[in-house]
Amino acid sequence: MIKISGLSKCFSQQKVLEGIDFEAQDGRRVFILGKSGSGKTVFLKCILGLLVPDTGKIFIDEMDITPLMVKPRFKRKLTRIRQKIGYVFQGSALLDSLSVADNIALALDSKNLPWEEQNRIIDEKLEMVGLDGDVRRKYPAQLSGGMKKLVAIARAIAAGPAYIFYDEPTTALDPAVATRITKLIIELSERLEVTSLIVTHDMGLARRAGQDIYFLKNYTLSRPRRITRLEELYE
Amino acid sequence: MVRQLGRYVLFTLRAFGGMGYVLRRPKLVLKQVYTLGLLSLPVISFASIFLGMVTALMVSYQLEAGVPKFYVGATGGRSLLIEIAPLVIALLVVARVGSNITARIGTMKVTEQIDALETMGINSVHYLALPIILASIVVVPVLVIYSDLISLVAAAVSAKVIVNVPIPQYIFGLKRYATLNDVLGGLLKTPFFGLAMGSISVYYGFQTELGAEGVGKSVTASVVTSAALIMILDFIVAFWMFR
Repeated sequence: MIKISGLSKCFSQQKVLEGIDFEAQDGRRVFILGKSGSGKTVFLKCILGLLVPDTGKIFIDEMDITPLMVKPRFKRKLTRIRQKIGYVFQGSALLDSLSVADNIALALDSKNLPWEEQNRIIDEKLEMVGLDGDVRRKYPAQLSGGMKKLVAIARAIAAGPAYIFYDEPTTALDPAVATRITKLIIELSERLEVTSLIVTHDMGLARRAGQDIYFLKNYTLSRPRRITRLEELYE
Repeated sequence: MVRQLGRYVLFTLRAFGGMGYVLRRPKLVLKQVYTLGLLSLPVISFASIFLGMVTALMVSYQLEAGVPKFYVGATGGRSLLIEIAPLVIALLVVARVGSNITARIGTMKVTEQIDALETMGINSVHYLALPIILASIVVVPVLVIYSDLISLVAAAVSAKVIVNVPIPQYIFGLKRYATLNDVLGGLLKTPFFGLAMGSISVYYGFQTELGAEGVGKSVTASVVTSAALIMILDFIVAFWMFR
């Protein structure tokens, strides 16, 4: 379970998040909807410790991880926490210099698995996201935007995370691929029994796949009155 | 500036903290040795040939009539070994490799590839920076040795063709006056050049912010700082060895 209390974050004088309280129950698909620039990505990066919150506490599996972000000597502990989380970046963030197989293998780096076992996991995860084995040797520059996103999802699930974070998973994709990814988010959350935290401005995606929905507006999170009233966000 | 220097030193020390990680993954270093070293050979060969030719030409131009011709080998060859080849090759490596490293890592930073490594529990400084720094420390001396050989041959041939110094006389002059101290003086500084170039290039890559413009600024800062530091190191080693 992820629990957050009183989370705030500013950049110089620019307030981004203020006094956020939040809870994601195990196994749920939790959506955070917000306009562009509302601080959705900052929220995710604070949970991962990629950005250090100014105030507040973040608990992952009942462990307060905020002290781990500040002191370098706790870096290993923070690393172990991060390994419970798979992150699908908005721009996929695949390493350009590595093939698809090597990108996915990176997620297994800390497990020191034999190469055959790594190969088996890579094939299995590619199959789970609906990509065939031919894509293994390709480089990110040779893939379409949709395929990059699918490889990023395969990488995020490779190490068997308990949580998957998606940052704008359907942005800049054609409707067919966006629908495929929406189905995949639902399928993975049920099949792998992971907690999914999705930040997006795509209300259609939230309607189809969301179980718990929050709005991020005016630096803070709120719950919509009804799922049919998602347009409240833009009112 | 002092703060920047402090950050750079801490960053470099942090990178070396990943020695155990990199030693368990030697392929990371070997890949960088290939990229930094082998792929630089054509440009190093080209530059070394012209370095040798121009050195032979300029030395013969400055020798007065009556000075034995083997002095072209003695002074030109020594200059190449001690100073010209190490410094010019190091600066060439900064231009070709250092700028590439900073641009590559800077782009990885602004496209969240470095964040992606961190989220997978991989220390990005250990994974990306240390292999480049170690490869630079190894590759720059090897490239300078290679350049020494090519430029000396080019100097001997051009001395014969352009200013009519017989090759045996060139070799005689070189053998008679160039000492082991000269060779070592030229080579000793090259691992430090490699360390400076590698660490500064990755440091500025990791400092990159704000998209393509940020990458451009980082590359400029990296090349200028590396070149300046290499010249300072060059002077320090020369002062220590040849004063």
